[in-house]
Amino acid sequence: MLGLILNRLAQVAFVLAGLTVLTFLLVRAVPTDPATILAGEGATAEQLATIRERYGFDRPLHEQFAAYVGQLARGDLGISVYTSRPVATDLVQRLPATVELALAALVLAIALGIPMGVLAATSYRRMADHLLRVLSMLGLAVASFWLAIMLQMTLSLNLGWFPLRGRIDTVAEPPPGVTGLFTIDYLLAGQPAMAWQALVHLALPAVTLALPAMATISRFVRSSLIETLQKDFVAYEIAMGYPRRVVIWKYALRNSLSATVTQIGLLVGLLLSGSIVVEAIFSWPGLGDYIYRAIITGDTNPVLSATLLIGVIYAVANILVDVIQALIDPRVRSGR
Amino acid sequence: MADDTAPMLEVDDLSVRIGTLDGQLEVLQQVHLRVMPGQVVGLVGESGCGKSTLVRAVLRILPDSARQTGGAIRFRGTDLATLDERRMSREIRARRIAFIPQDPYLALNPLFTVGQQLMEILRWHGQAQGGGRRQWRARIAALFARVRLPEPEAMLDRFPHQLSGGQRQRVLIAAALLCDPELIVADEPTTALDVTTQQQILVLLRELVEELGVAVLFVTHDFGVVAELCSAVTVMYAGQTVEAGPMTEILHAPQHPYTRRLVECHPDRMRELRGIPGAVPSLVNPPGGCRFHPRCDRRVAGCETRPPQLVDVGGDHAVNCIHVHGGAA
Ligand SMILES: Nc1ncnc2c1ncn2[C@@H]1O[C@H](COP(=O)(O)OP(=O)(O)O)[C@@H](O)[C@H]1O
Ligand SMILES: [Mg+2]
Repeated sequence: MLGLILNRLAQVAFVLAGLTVLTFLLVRAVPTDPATILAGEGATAEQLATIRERYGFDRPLHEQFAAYVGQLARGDLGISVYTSRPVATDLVQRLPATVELALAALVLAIALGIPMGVLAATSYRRMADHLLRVLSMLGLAVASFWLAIMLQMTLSLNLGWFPLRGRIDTVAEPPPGVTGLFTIDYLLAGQPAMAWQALVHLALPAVTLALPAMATISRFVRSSLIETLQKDFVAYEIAMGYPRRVVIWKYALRNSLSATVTQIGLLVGLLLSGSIVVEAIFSWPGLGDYIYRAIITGDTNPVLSATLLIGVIYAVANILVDVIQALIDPRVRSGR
Repeated sequence: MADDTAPMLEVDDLSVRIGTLDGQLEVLQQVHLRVMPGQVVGLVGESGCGKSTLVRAVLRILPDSARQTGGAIRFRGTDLATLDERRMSREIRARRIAFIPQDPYLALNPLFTVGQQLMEILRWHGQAQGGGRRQWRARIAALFARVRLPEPEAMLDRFPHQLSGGQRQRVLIAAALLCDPELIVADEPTTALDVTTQQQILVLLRELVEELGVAVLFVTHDFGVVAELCSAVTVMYAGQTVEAGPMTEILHAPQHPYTRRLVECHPDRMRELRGIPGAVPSLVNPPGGCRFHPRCDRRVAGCETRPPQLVDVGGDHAVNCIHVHGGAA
């Protein structure tokens, strides 16, 4: 088990190194002159040259990269031009909002996707299966931004059931930070009404983000459960009088989760990238919104660092997936 | 309690159809079988002749594509078709009819310890024995010892992949004994094992059966095994019962040409059913008349056209052949 985790950590380090190079090149390859943005409107050629020199934009690319890696190693992520604060500070402040949103979406997607998949598999080629397939196709086909805007128009603007944007009302006081997740922190602070308010704010962005993930999960559960139900041990369990629901929900489902759990690891990537659009539309003050603003304003440092951070989260999620995999399957545990 | 002179399991003129891409297969037709209380009955026939389908029909675990199209399966006088899935699983399976499957490598769930899997059986069927988790564990360990598994206590917490094939089959035998069933249906329980292990498992089964007096339907394609273990035999060919009777009669005076070939071509009666020319016919389009006629060495006019019936020849012996009808049917 420990060997497995170390092995994965090594892989993650490798992937992150690659990601650092890639993001750096991508950002520098974009034909915007970072000095122009830093200097602002109407700067003289002389001022631009000073800035270039100060930030090292005039040096060769590989030197810039070396300097950048050196900074990263020291935990110095540079200054955001847009917020004029250290990027590290911004990230720390915004990370919890994204974590709360992505977690909520993931929980929703799993809590609905798995039962939908089981229902589809056990009604294979019957009505419920067809209905669920149409639903999941819709879930995958509908663009997040469109769904987000539709939800805002109907449920927020027309019906007024949900707030339009933000994590809490603009006049409200954020909870004392413990976990950084507002819903939980309000509860911990003994403010259930505020926790409810935070939850209501969370609902629409989380649903928007969860929908494609839910569809993916239900399809994976369906197909692997259909396969598992053909197995000899399922016939044996039924022949030995296990109730059918126990066979399906306990014994067969667990055998079908392996593929699904791997998929959920990949879905974390989908959720994080999806959060850029969703956070931007719902003004959710998280990493996605931060990246979105940074891209729009051509602000390099935040884009690089936030992308790296998302890479780290994604990698950690996938290490977790491997651990869960080993917990589910004793054969993985014993390395067979 | 139960009447010991009435059959425990009676399969009467059973037909089963399975829908496939090739059309409707009449996998079982005119199948007759009888198991008396405490009796060990062998069900023999070449691979593909429908033995497993019959077993599944008895346990009512046929695939969704299969349908019982005729006949009846009575257990202790109750037509099992009248029981719904819920009652089958609550009252019959494991508790009164236990099952030993063919392939111990595939029949156990790889993600659960063998103890967890046997506990699940007791959870749904162990009420009769009473007791809680601890007693159940003790009961399973005691059975593990009885089927001669090493370290029976520790065995409960092993996963299937940690056991050998023979050990897994012993676990499955223990599982079958958990709820003191009246009938054990064993579908080729030794076929997936190597020869030495096969022999050990057979010895164990014979011992247990003698000790417990439980009735057994023992499915095999190996006539030698039947001779060793059973007191009565039912022979199937291409989905039909062709002959049934007491072990000694079938061995010494087989009536159906197919049975005769099975017995004759292996005088030591310890070999598998090989050496009969031809192959089991396709069930999509079975031969008309007697299904065995293309391979039969006693074929006469009428065999191709007139399907014979299973006829009682006295002494619990029944044969499905034109020669027994006296050609009059
Ligand atoms: N689920 C199924 N779908 C299609 N054909 C089947 C199915 N189960 C069994 N059969 C067919 O029924 C016949 C009998 O199979 P089976 O009962 O497994 O025989 P045996 O156990 O004697 O080897 C075979 O021809 C097999 O191909
Ligand atoms: Mg079989």
